[in-house]
Amino acid sequence: MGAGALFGLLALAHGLTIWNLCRVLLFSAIYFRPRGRDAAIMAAVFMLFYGP
Amino acid sequence: MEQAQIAREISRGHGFSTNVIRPAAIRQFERSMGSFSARTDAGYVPRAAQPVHQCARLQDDGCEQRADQNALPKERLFRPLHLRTGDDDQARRLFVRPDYRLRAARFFPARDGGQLFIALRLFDRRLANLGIAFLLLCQRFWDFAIAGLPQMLLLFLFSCAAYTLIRAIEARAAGAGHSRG
Repeated sequence: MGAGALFGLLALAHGLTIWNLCRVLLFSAIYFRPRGRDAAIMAAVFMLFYGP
Repeated sequence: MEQAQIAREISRGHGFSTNVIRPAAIRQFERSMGSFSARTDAGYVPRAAQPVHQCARLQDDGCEQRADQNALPKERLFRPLHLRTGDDDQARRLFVRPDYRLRAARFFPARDGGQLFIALRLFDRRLANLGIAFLLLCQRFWDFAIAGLPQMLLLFLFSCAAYTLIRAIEARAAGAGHSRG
């Protein structure tokens, strides 16, 4: 959740940093178990920060 | 023309200096002030102290207006952020104010603090301290730090995000179940 929030702030500072988030999401989807759950939480928190 | 050249050098962060000076101006200077020093580092201020130095000088001389006019190419970089703030004029004033430049430079040591925590997690203390010392000695980082642009804020946020990820990976490796990353 913290990483998602910080990547959201990072994306607000510059849009290109979304590419970093994509790589982190891919990594966390593969590495953390159950697969995909933590990546989905991170993406949701990111959208919460970046969406508005 | 000389005033415009000096103003350009101020906007580039080189302080009150010029790359163009006429022989007549040198003679005028020598007549009123004595010998003329052609040293390029005359009035040199260490990079680390330049934000404070420039802030004080610009405010004393009341030349914020000139800095504002010369900062136009830089402020184009912030166009998306201006749209977010909703007040373009206010954003322009904020970004060219000298104390805003100082505020941006503060993120440089903050970023190094974040990098130190990451390095302490990954390596031993001696290697972490050595790496951070080399980062602090890097001239290019100081160039960016005193430019008043938000690169150091980006790097600070990225350091914090990387630190949280490392903690999550450590928790996963230690078998602590599901991380909060």
